[in-house]
Amino acid sequence: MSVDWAEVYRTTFEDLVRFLHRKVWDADRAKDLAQEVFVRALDHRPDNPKAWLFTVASNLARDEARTAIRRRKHLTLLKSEVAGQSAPDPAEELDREQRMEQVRAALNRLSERDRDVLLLWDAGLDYGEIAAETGLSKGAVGTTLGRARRRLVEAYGALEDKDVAHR
Amino acid sequence: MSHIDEGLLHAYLDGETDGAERSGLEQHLDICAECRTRLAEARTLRDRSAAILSGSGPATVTAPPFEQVVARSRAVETRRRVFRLNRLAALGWAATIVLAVGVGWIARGSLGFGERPAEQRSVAVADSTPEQAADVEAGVVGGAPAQVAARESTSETEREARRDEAAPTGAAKSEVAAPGRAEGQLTPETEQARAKLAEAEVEQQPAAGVAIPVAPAPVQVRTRGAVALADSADQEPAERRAAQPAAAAEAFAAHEVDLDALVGLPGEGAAWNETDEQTARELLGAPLLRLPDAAVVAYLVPAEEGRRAVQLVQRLASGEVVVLRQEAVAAIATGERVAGPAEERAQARDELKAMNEPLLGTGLASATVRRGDYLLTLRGTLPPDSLQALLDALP
Repeated sequence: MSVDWAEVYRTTFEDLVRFLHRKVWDADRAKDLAQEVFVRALDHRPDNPKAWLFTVASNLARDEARTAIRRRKHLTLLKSEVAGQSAPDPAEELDREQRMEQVRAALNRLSERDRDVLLLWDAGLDYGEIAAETGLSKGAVGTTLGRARRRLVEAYGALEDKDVAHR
Repeated sequence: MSHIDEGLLHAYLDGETDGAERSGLEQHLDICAECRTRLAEARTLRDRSAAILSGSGPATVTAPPFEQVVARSRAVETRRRVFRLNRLAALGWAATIVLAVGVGWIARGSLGFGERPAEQRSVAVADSTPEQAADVEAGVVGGAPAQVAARESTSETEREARRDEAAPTGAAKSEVAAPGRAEGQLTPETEQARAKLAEAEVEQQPAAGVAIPVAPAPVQVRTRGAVALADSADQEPAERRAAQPAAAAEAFAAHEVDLDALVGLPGEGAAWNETDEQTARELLGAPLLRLPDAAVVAYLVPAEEGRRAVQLVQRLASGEVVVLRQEAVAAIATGERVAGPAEERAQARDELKAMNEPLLGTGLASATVRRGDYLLTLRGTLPPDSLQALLDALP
């Protein structure tokens, strides 16, 4: 079976970046990693592109998380220096950062399996693909996804309440 | 009928139930108010969680052109091919040294060389590379060069093994693993290379434990990136010399930086040798510029004679590894500099352009400035604007 990789790239790249972003929490790094995943895919030419891409992305993100050095930090600094006025509105940016931090904290309260299933669904994979990716049965995907959604909403709500109480 | 399972409600909402399943569920929902409430609740959860997640993504995602990914993939393949050749060359070296030692062994037997007197042995120590010296001092006298070569090529194959992406799962670590952690994920190819090395080691055994009977030739072990080059005439303290290549290798291994791409310009093909600060400064004939607040991991000079260029491998405080190249402009231009100012400017412009060619497929960027008679190029995995900013900030 031949795969149209240009088409896969076009339809999947964005989802892959979003998926990776919620694992590494750095937009540039997520994009780099997504590219890296495709570079490897072109080398390997797997028959089941989507599952393969997300598996490799998961692994890369996990390794990334293990690398304690937040090596991109200074880059952001350097970039904002160079970019100067073109930087987005600071207040908006701060708000965004805060929201992101909150989502991150909420996701961290989920079990790894719940989080993976939720993020894979959000990245556009269907139950069958999620099942193949995680080793769950297709029937269990719905149950896991339901639980993950509930926990995310609860955790996020709790954090929001705390945030409001602080203000 | 019992109530609908929570998971099934979500599957239903997500359009993940087949026709028969769906109509069964809908029949039940028609008659069961409780399940309708639960369905509404599940829908709220689904929509709310999607909203939460959508607020956390990057603002906009623009995919780079697919061609760029294809080019990168090709570059990886090319590097791998070059690499295989290098590895063969390294194995060739090991074989050559084994042969030399073997001939020496035979000569020793027929010409009556026995154990060398102590002072002669110490000369051999001074002449040999620090690694050899260490081996000699440790009592492993004979066959040291072969072991050095063998070790180099082994580490090279391991590094390659780490680079080779093997399987979708588990192997992702391969590119960032530290030396010595590749066990258990070697490719069959590496196994083969190892077997060859093992054979080489068996062949050299007759020489083990005997003084080197032939004058040790400079052992030029070209590792990936040509950083570790043993210089027979070097008089530096052994531990310092020995530590540098390891430090450089480690720095590269830890940061997924392609050493070849960082050190050599595309198509340059020249080898660079590691040296010390003083030698580098003398070769350049000018004070070495370096990025402030960044440790120098290695000083590199071209293997090619008469070229006044130096590369400093530096590690930024953030851990990024960059290479700062300083080259006398006259050395870059080929031929005599008889051109007038206008032509000279055009030439300089072309040079700058060539230096700034995007390093497509390497994941690297570069920035260049001219300072008087010297051209400074900074390369690394940082964006070009960051590199330019670093270069401009040079004292």
